[in-house]
Amino acid sequence: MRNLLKKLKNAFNSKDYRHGYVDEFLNVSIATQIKVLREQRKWGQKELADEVGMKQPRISVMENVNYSSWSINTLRKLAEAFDLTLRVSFESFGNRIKEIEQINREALERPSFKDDPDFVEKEEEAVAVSFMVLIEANKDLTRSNEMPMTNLAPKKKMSLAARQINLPRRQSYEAPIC
Amino acid sequence: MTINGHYQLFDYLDSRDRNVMQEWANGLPMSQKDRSRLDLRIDLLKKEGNNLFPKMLQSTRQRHIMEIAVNGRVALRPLLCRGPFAIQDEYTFLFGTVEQNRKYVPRDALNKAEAHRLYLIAHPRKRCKHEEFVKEAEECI
Repeated sequence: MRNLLKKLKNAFNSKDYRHGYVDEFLNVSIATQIKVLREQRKWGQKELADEVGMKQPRISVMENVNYSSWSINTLRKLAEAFDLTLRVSFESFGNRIKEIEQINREALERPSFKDDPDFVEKEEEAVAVSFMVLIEANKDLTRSNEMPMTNLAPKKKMSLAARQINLPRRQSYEAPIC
Repeated sequence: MTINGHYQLFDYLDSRDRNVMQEWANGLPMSQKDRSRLDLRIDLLKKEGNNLFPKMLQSTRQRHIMEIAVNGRVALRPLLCRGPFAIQDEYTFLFGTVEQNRKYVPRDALNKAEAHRLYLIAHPRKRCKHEEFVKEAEECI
């Protein structure tokens, strides 16, 4: 990264220069991210326009690095259309330069809520939880001198594990009681 | 081939081997903000080429000539082309112009840029690595 910082160090001593530079980046990055997010969702400009409640030419205008008349309200609408949250914050110049150096398509992509890894329950996680339940149930059975579950048929294991954690019995789990 | 993932930028050299872009930039009444905007565009072009940023390079009436539109107190319009040798990985600045009343100044800027491109194809040494304008930033108005 440090190449850009090194290059800009002297020029950034001028307040006009540093503000002009990062302001321009702000315009470029917003226009670019709108296009990247739209393409990530495989939408055309018309589809995005429909989602936001605008006309397609307006999207075309915003997806242009030369556009600079952003309003928070418009950005909020776009965020909602992409099912994302809008973040507006103040930043130091050093951090902004890092951002400029790291900008690429991947850095601009964001998953919408339905694909957000923090909210999507992963299948592997569910399997891991079931497995832990089985292990715990097996330990308890061993302690109480019953037959270890490793020797039982899978259906029986599930049934016993379910009973250990007081899950309601389901037909598919049911096994003859010993 | 890009170097460290960066595109290579070149400046056209005139008949006296002077860098036309430096001459242009140094001769303009450019403010610090105008110059910083131009520098950012060039930094991003070097980093990602024309693939990521929408309408960063705009086509012109001349088929091979593109412009970077930087709007400020002065409407800067540096003219450039892909390649012309390694089309995928490099850009060459050919001529510097400004826009007034939707027209280039000088009016024949596109023709000049195209003439430079053709001359460069015939004389590949008539260009040098792009020199940063930022060096002169402290001298801006």
